[in-house]
Amino acid sequence: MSKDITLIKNASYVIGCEKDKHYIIPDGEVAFQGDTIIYVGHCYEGEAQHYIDAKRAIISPGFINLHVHLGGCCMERNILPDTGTPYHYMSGLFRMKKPLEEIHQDIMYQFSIGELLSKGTTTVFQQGFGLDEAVDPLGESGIRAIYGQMCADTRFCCENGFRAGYSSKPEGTAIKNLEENMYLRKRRNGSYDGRITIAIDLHAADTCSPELLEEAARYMKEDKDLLCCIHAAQSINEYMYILRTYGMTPADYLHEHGIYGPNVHYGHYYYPSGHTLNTVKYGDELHTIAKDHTNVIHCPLSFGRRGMFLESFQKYKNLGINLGIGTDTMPLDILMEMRYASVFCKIAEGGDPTAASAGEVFNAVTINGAKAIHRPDLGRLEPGCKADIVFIDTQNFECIPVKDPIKTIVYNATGDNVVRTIINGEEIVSEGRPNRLDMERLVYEVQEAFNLTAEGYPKAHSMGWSIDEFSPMTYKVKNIS
Amino acid sequence: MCKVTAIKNASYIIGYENGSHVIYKGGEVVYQGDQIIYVGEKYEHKVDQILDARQGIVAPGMIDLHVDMDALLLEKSTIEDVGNPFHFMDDFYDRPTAEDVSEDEQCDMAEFIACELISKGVTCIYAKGILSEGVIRKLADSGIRVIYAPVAYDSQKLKKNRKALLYRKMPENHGKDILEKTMTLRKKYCNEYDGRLEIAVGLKTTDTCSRELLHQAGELLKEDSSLKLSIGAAQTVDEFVEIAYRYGITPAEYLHDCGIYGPQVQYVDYIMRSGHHMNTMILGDELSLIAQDKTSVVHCPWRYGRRGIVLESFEKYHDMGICMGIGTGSSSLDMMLEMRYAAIFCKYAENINPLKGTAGMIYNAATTEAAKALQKKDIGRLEAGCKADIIIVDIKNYDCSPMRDPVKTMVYTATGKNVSHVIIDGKLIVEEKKPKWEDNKRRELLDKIQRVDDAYASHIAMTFPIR
Repeated sequence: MSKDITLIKNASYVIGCEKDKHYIIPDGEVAFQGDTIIYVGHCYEGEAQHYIDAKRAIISPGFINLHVHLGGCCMERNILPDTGTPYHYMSGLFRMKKPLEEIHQDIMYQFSIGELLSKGTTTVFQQGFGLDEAVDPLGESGIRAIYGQMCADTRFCCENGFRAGYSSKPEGTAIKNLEENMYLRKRRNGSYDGRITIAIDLHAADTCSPELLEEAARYMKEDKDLLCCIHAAQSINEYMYILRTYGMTPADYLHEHGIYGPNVHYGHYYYPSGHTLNTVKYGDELHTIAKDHTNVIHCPLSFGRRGMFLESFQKYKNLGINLGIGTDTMPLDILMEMRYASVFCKIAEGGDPTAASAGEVFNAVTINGAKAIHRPDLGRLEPGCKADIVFIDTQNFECIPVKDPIKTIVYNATGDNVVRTIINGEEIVSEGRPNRLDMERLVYEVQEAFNLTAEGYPKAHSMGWSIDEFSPMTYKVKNIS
Repeated sequence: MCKVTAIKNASYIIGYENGSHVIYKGGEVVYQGDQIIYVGEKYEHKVDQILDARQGIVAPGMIDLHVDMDALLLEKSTIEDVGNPFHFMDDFYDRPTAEDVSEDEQCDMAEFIACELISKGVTCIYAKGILSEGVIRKLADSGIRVIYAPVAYDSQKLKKNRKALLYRKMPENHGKDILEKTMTLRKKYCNEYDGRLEIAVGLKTTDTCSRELLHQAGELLKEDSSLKLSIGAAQTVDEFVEIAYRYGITPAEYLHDCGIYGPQVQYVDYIMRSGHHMNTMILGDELSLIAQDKTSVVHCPWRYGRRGIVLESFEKYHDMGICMGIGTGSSSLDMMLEMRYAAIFCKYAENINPLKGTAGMIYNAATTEAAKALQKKDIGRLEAGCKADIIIVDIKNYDCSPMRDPVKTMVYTATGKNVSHVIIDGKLIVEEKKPKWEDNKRRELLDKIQRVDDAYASHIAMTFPIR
C-alpha cells in the first residue's frame, strides 16, 4: 500500500470527530496516508504528495449502511409500492414462494453495489439471499463490506393464499450452511486489504430453529469478533408465531437461545408490542434489547413505503438501544434514508420536530453504525481512523444555502450530491460514479434480468399471479412500438 | 410557420386518452411552436427537427401549485428540528420572512427558485410573494409558466412574544392598496411573456386578513371570472382556534361567508381542520363545504412533514371530492420528492395502508388535477392541442433501473435530478441536463443566495459544535 500522503483542501466544511462526538470545522482540511487518516483540522502544515481540491464540498465520514439485500433489492422497487397483503397486515413477505432474486444475481449484486457507492455508502452489511461466493464482487468494487451466507431452517409460504406459514428446507441445510459460512470466514475474513468481514447471517426469528440459533451462539462465544444479523419483529405474523410457539416475544426468544449482545443486529424490530399494528400486550422487549446491548437496524423507507413507521427512533434511542440505519431494498440512498428516519420519527412522535434530529440520524450512519460493527476506526474523521471519506457537493440548487452542514446532508441533499468517495485510502467514486463499475452495462443487464424475473413471476407467487396482477400498472398501458 | 419538433426514442410516454393518463411504450410526441400537435405511435408528416429522448420517459411538465416567495430559501439547513412548544411546535416564530431580506435579494431568490424548479421538471408554478415587479419579471424571465399572487394582508402575527399569540394591525388600507395594485399589474402583464404570466390575487392567511379585505377580494373574483385567488387557510392550530374565537366558525366557513371560495380559489394547506389529530376542537364539517364549493386545496407535504405533521389524509380529501394539488412550499423544490412524501404520508395517515395514496392519485395531483385547479385545460397532460410543456426523465441510471411502471418510478424512486430535458411553451430550456442559462450565471446565483444566507443571522444552534 502506498505511503504517500494526500491532502484534501478547499472544503466548505469538514465533519471531524473526537471522543465519539462529531464537530464541524468550517474550511477545514483532511490528510491521509495510505489507508489511514493522519490529520483533521484547520490547516495541515506537513508535507503531502497529492492534493485533492474539494471544490467547496462537505467532507464527511463515509456512511455505514447496515442492512441491504444486494441480491435482489433492485427488483422490488418498481413492484412493491402500492401493494400489500391484507391477511399479513399489509406485509409482502409471505406470499412469495421463493425469492424473486434467483435469476442473474451477479448482475443485481453489482448493480446494487454501484448504486450504494454512487450515493455515499462506504460500508455495507449485506443481508440474506446472497451469491454463494459474494466476496469477490464486493471486494473488487472497492466497497467495505460485511457479508455472510444466509442460514434458515424454513422459508415463508402461504399455501392457501391467506394463512402465513413456513415450509421446511431439507433437514440439515441450515446447519450445513452455517458450517460453510464459518469456513468462508476462515478463508476470506479480512481479505481485500481488510475491507471484507465475514459474519453470521441468520434469516429471521421465525425461520430459524432454536438449534440453529444455539449453534450460531456457540460460534459467537468462541470468536468474540464475530458479528451476527437476524431479522426480528419484522411482521405481525412473525410476532404471533413466535409468541404462540414459544410463549415469548421475538427478542426474548432470541435472548433465550443466545442471539443477543453487542455483536448482534436485529434487523428492523419494527413491531414490538405497543406498536400501532401490534396490539398484543406482552413483555417488555425493548428493555431486554437495551439491557443486552443488542443493536437494532432501522430501514425507514422499506417500511415507510407501506405507511409503516418505527414507533419511534427517538424512543428506542432514549431507552438506550444502539440504532443503525439500512436502506434495505428500496433506492439505496443513505442520505435520503437519514431524512426518512428523521421525518418518520417526528411524525410517529405525534408531530415533534425536535425528535430524531439531524445529529441523531447522522450519528446512526456514522459513529453508532461503527459501534454496531465494532469498528471504532470507521464512521468518523479522526487521525488514526480509516480513510473512508465522502465528498458532498454543496454548489447546487438543493444544498444552497448552507447554514448547518449536517442539516444540509440530512434534509436537503440527496445521494446524487456525492461527487467523490475514498474508501480505505483509495478513490472509489469519481465525479459521482463508482470508477470500477460500468454503469451503462449494469443498467442494460439489470433490465434484462428484471424482464426475465417479471416473466417468471407467477412461479414465485403463491397464488400464481402475474406481475401485473400482483402490482397493477398505474395507468392503462399501450404497446406501440 | 413555427418549427415542428418530434421527440423520438422514448421508452415510455405518459399520454392522455379519455380523461386519464395512459402509458405508451414507445411512440413519439410532436410539437409545433408552443403547441403539442401529436402524441402516438408515429408522426407521418415532415418535421424540422428531432429531439432524442435517449430512452427516457416523456411526461407532461409538473405543476407546482404553491411556491412561497417569502424568505423560505433561508430555512434550508436552519429551521429543521425546530418547534415552538407554546404553538403546537409551529416553526413560524423562528422562520425568516420577507422582512429579513431586501427586494433585490428577493429578486435573486426568485431567480434561484425558478431555475431550481425548472431543472427538476416543474413547468408551471403558482407563486405567492411580495408585490414586486422585479420578482415577477425574474420568475417570468426564467421561462417558466407562472401565476403570481402578490400577498395582501392587514395584520401580522407578532414574533416578539414567543408565548402569546399576538397580532399587529397594519396601517389603514394596507391590504386594500395591495389588492388595487395587484389588479393594475394584472392588466399590465396580461399580454406579456406569450401569455405565460398571469397575475392573481394573494391573501396571506385567514387570521391576517380582515373581513373587509376578504370581502373586497371576493368582489374582485365576482367581477372577473378568470381571476384566481390563493389564501393560506387552516395552516396551524393557532389560526384555526383564532378564527373560531373571533367568529365562532371554521376557517372554511369564514372564507365562504366572505366570498372567498369556488373553482377560482386555492386554499393553501388546509391541514389543521377540525378532526386532524392535532386539532381537537370539534367544529363544523369543513371538508364537505370545501368540496361542495369546488374550492381546491394545495398540499405541501415537506414543509409539514419535516415537523412531523401529515395531512389526514390526501386520499380522504380526494374521496370527499376536493380537487387536490401539490406544492413544494419552497424550502424543498423537488416535486418528485414531494410526490413521494405525499404518497407515504397518506398511507400512514390512512391507518397504515399501503393501498392508499397510490402513485396514480398522487401523480394526477401534480399534473391533471393541478391543471383543473388552475382552470387550465391545456397543461398537465400530453395531448394534441395542449401547450408544449414537456419533460424527459432519464432512466438509464441507478435510481430508475430496472424499469417497469414509469409513474411508480417518478413517484417512488426518481428525484428531480433525473430530469434531462425541459420544454416550456415549446421552448427547450433544459437539454441533456444542461439548462439554457450559463454555468457562470448559475454560479453567481448560488454565491448570491449563500451570501444572503450568511448575512441572515440565525439564532438557531448548530447540530454539532463548531471549532
